[in-house]
Amino acid sequence: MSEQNQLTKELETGAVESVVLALHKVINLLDRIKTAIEESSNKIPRASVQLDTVTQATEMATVEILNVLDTMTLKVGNVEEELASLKPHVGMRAGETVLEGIGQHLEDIKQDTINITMALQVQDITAQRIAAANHLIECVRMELMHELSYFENSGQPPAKEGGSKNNGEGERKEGATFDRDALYRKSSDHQERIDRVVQEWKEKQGQ
Amino acid sequence: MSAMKILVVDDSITIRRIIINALKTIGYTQVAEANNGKDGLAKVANTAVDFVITDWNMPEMNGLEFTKALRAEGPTADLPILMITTRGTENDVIEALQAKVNSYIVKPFTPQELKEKIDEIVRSMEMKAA
Repeated sequence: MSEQNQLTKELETGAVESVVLALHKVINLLDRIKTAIEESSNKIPRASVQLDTVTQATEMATVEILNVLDTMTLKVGNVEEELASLKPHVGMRAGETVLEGIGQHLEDIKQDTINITMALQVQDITAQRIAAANHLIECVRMELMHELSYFENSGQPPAKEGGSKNNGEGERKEGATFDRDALYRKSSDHQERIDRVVQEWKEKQGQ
Repeated sequence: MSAMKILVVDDSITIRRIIINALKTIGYTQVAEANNGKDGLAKVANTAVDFVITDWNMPEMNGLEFTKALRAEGPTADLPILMITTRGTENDVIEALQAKVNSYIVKPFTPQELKEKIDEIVRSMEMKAA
């Protein structure tokens, strides 16, 4: 064997060793990626369940608050009736003024209970946002599962499940039970804008 | 107090309660409830309903499909429908109007807004009937 052949063989052996080493590193890296994907996709259902639990808890608490508000409204109504039955027996002007003052306080309490009731709409609005976040998490899980099956099928791209590729717009499709853009607004500006749209549309339709 | 019977269709129990409380505040005590469009259709078929308040996003049958189903049936084709939803884009409103809802409220609403819309729809129905 000539000296040149010997050198060429040594170089080739070195190159093969480098390729094998590089392949080992790539395989290790792919294994780590696969494990990370497996672990991440296993954690996602837990995250979804936790979000669902938040929605259920806020719904339960809201119903409890609504029950208390109903009882308060009932009690205020009873006191108002008792006050009305007391009125004919209170002849003095000072007494009438006191009764009127109490009546006004009861009216204020009734208005406060209505305001609290209406503010509780925030529960439904946040529940829709949570459902939208849950939907996005599920989309990520589906994507991860898709990549995982790519590994498991030795690089053969698996057939995509219908609708697994999601651009986040799916929530607006018909059939979705939530609105990802749900917002709790305090001002009436938005409703006024909607009223204008309705008005213009009805005018166009000749209604 | 009004004798008008109102059907409230919403998948959220809290929103149904809130709407029913608001209706009581403004004088409507005759109320029925349903938790989606399918349930709503069954209620309309079995109960005498004068007015419908519906959400949009619901499982099984959403508010838009429910509205279209009501409009397709002879006896319910002219039933007044008020949509109360979180969906508040111009396109959403137009889509609902095309499905023939009578009016549209975006959540969160106030009892005053609810009263104004109900009064407005009832007035317009009465004018049509006259």
